[in-house]
Amino acid sequence: MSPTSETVVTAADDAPSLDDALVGEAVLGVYRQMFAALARDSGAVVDDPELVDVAETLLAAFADAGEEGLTREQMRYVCRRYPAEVFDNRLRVLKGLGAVREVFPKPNQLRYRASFTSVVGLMFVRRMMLDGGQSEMHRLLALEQLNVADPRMTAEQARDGAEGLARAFRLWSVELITLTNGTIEELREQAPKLWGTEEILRRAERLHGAILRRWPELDRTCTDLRAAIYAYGDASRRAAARLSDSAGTTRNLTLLPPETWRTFARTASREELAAVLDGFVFDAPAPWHEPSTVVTAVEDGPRATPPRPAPPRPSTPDPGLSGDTGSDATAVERLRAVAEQVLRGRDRVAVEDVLDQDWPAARRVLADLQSAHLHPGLPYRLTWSDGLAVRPGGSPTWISPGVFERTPPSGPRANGGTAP
Amino acid sequence: MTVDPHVLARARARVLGVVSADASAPVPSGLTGASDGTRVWLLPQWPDGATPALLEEYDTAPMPLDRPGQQRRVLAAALRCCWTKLDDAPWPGGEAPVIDVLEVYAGMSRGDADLARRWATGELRRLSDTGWLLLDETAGTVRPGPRVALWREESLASLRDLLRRLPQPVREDAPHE
Amino acid sequence: MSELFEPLLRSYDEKRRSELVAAYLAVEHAAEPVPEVRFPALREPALRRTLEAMLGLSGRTLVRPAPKTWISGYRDDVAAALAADPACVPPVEERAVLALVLIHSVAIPRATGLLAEDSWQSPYPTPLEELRRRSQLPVGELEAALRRLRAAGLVAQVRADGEETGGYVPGPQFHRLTDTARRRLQEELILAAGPDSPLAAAIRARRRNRVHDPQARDPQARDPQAHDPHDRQAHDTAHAQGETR
Repeated sequence: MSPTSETVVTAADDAPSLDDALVGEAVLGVYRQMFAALARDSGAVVDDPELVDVAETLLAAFADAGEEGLTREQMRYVCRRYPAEVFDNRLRVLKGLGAVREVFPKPNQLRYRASFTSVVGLMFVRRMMLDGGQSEMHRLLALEQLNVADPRMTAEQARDGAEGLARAFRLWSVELITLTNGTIEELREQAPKLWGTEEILRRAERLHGAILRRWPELDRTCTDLRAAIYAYGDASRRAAARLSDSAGTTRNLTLLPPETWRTFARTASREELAAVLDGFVFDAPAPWHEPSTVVTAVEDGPRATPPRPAPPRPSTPDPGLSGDTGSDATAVERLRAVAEQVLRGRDRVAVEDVLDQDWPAARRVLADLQSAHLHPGLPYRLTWSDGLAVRPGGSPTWISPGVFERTPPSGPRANGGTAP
Repeated sequence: MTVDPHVLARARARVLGVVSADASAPVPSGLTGASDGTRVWLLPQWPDGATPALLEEYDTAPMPLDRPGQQRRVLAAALRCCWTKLDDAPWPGGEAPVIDVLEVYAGMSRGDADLARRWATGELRRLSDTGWLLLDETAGTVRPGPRVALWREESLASLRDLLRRLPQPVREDAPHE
Repeated sequence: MSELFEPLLRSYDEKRRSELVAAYLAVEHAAEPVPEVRFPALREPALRRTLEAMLGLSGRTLVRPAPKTWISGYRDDVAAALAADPACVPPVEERAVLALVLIHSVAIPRATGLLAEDSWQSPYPTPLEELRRRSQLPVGELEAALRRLRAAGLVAQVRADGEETGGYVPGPQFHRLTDTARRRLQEELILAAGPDSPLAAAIRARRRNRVHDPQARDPQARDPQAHDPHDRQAHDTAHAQGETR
């Protein structure tokens, strides 16, 4: 809520000095309507943001209602989620300040209408809350630039405009300087709403030049404006310098609005993005594989050497299973044939005996036994024990004691007897 | 502002990961050279023969690795094929056809052998990127990478044992789908 | 294998020596900063000085990303010297993707007030869709760059989890940046995304001062505004980078 209240306070402080130029009850009426939504009672600003929400809800309902306006009951209905006393207070204040008026379309029929000015005022306030003075200043400068080019513009009006801008720049500078001398946290939070980008400063100087060219007699006013612009630029730089020197290694990222980041991310070229990391060096990937972890990975892998629990099996032969494992039924049957050939009716056989043939043939058999072992649908197991038997002159010349066996029939599917 | 060139050379080796030079090039001090006769690779030196495996004792997680088990199984399969003289040190080892490694790996894995081969190919590249293997994709061959030279002789017994038990590549009649 | 470290370790008894070795390997290879409570060589200042010297042999230094936790990273002067060698800098497509992840996962959450910690780590993933659809990066090189960044620990993948969308966050390597490097990363992002902002102007002015002022290395003659404890190194790095630019 603080930016809002500050804004309003600034505006209120400004008001008396503007009175000279804009006199009369009508002007004060505009002021009151502008800020009615933020008024707590007719003398002060709200101290609870919810009160502004009530006003906003009401104004939105008025916009929907059209020229008919709203009855009191209808207003109460749209504000039903707020307590009665909050609603009553709001309506009283809004009425008192002229944001909501009573109308009598027919005798004995009381209705309410809202003022256009209050809605505009609220839009302005919301915008100020969102991005502070920045974009407002852009709008103001753009508007003044148009005015200066307008043939109907008088020197008097131009001076008023320039003086108004000079005052705004000075007030901003004062606030920035105060912040710059305060805590870093507050500066970080407030500075982006207050400080001027180079773009704003350029625009202001352009406007200043345009006024001076068209009305050379306004040179004193323009000198003032110039000084105010410089002071503002200076205050902005000082605030930025303090922040860029501040501790913290990511905190200043908050100083650019999210939209700026998003725009950059979406529009920057590959080279512009990469330039951010120019000059940074990082470690090359260097994972470590200790020999024992390699051993563990193999032993604990999907193909574990120790006997594994028999996988759950369907109660009827399920040809679909072979599809699941990526091989076709022919391959499964081939493995089964090899396994049965090796077992030759026995339930288990030493691998050593099986491999007692020329090595190329032996390793083909071994690969098949392994595949048979791994196939979840086949009832075979290949196990190795530790140790190594050297067989001089044999082929291969070494072998680990291993056993190829039929797994116990744990279900009707484990009927190795279907093999040829 | 000038950095000691030896210090810089060691830092550079860490940034680049797998750096090799002509075998005749001098190895910067404080680095170990693993030479295959033609090229020499620069390896870090760690104090007192310790390796990063020490982290485990201290319950400290190393840099995360995707599918470490799979990567290590592929490394085992590759070593099965290219570290054939198991009584020697794994480095520099010999050259083996990639296709053999893929077959050994497929034989170690459950399920779709084609899929297993594809996974293994990716791991071979990662192992090669990190210096655990040297992969020559054009020639279709692979050999041990210089980082295996960092393995301490005392830590190799169980790995040798494992590799002896792993079947050799069989590809002639491997079931293809 | 340990001739390199022998002069530093020689004077320690076996216990101290193994504590130093353990801490050395831990800070050099851990994914996350290691708590000093677990490593005497990190806890005790005298041992920590030796550890720093051991790391210094390879151009590394201790980095303390949070109180009582340590990890190692490149010394600023070493990083600057290495960065002058194009072979040591990640390729342009990887740096571009990484910059996007830093913006979406750190800069934007920070600008919207979601991130409170002063860290380059973030729980807010950059969705792959954002990188793919709403950036100027060629889609073809995106996946490969992300894969390599992931392998190097420069980004980490966050899997989609129910309501939460997955994506990429800055990886554990960002723990290893020194304070000076972190600060410079922040500045580079601000210079790139908001070159028109007063902050970018202040950063440029400060760098100009340092490059142009030959006395800048003398602490007496330096910018009176810069007095943070890391400044000596910060200054040196900025100086070197200013020259290589």
